[in-house]
Amino acid sequence: MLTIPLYSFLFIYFIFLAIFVAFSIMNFYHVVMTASFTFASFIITFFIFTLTVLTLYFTYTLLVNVDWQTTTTVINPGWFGNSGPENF
Amino acid sequence: MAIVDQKISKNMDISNLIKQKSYEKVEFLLRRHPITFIPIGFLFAILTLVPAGVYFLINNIYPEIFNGQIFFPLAVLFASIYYLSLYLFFYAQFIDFYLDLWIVTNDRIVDIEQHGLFSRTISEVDLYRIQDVTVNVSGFFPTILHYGNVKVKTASSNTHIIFYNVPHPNEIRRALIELSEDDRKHHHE
Repeated sequence: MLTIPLYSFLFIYFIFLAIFVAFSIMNFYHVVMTASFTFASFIITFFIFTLTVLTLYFTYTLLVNVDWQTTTTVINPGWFGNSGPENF
Repeated sequence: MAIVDQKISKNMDISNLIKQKSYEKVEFLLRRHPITFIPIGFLFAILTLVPAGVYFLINNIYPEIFNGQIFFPLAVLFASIYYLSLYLFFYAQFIDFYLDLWIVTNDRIVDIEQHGLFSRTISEVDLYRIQDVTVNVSGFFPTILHYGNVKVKTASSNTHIIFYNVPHPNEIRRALIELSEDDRKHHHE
């Protein structure tokens, strides 16, 4: 039986966040470097930024009380028999 | 004339972008018509609603599943990743749309086309080389909202420049022909 702690998924999420930030900065860099930082592009950038902050805030609010030390079963030979994932 | 709205007299960013010559004056700065971005906005709105629909569906079929101490945080993390990816996709689409830029000066046309995030094509055509300017307004919305493609062909080169979905294409065509004739006179002197 292979079990992993829940915080492993949090690490994966943080890796995704790093990629997200890198690509967002790259997008914004494109806007600035191609002389396209106008009112329209400011509005869209602000819109995306606001949505991102709201999403991160709600993610934090929903997950703040989660016990990340809880372990979850990734592979259980018993699944192929007669039992299922109990935590689910 | 609506095209005047897009005229710019002095813009240092644009000057730097096209390496503006001392005698050169920027006449037009053209982008695609904003209406052409609406389908992307519509798709974004639809995709934003998908997790709400999935939540509603799962909650009706398995009402207890969101109380699970494993499933709930994983679902929240997944939803968060989904939304952030969606924002990134939307922003990248906007960049692709907005960074297609056509700059017309009294000397040349500079065509800057963004293809995705890591590819950009910049080409130039001298105004005096312009042989033919063709306008193509095709479809219901382009006709009533006055936007379309302007195709600029040159005599000496196989390359041609197309202004995609720009507002007021006929006015642009007329202005290009006038600018081209002026530039041709200048080159014959």
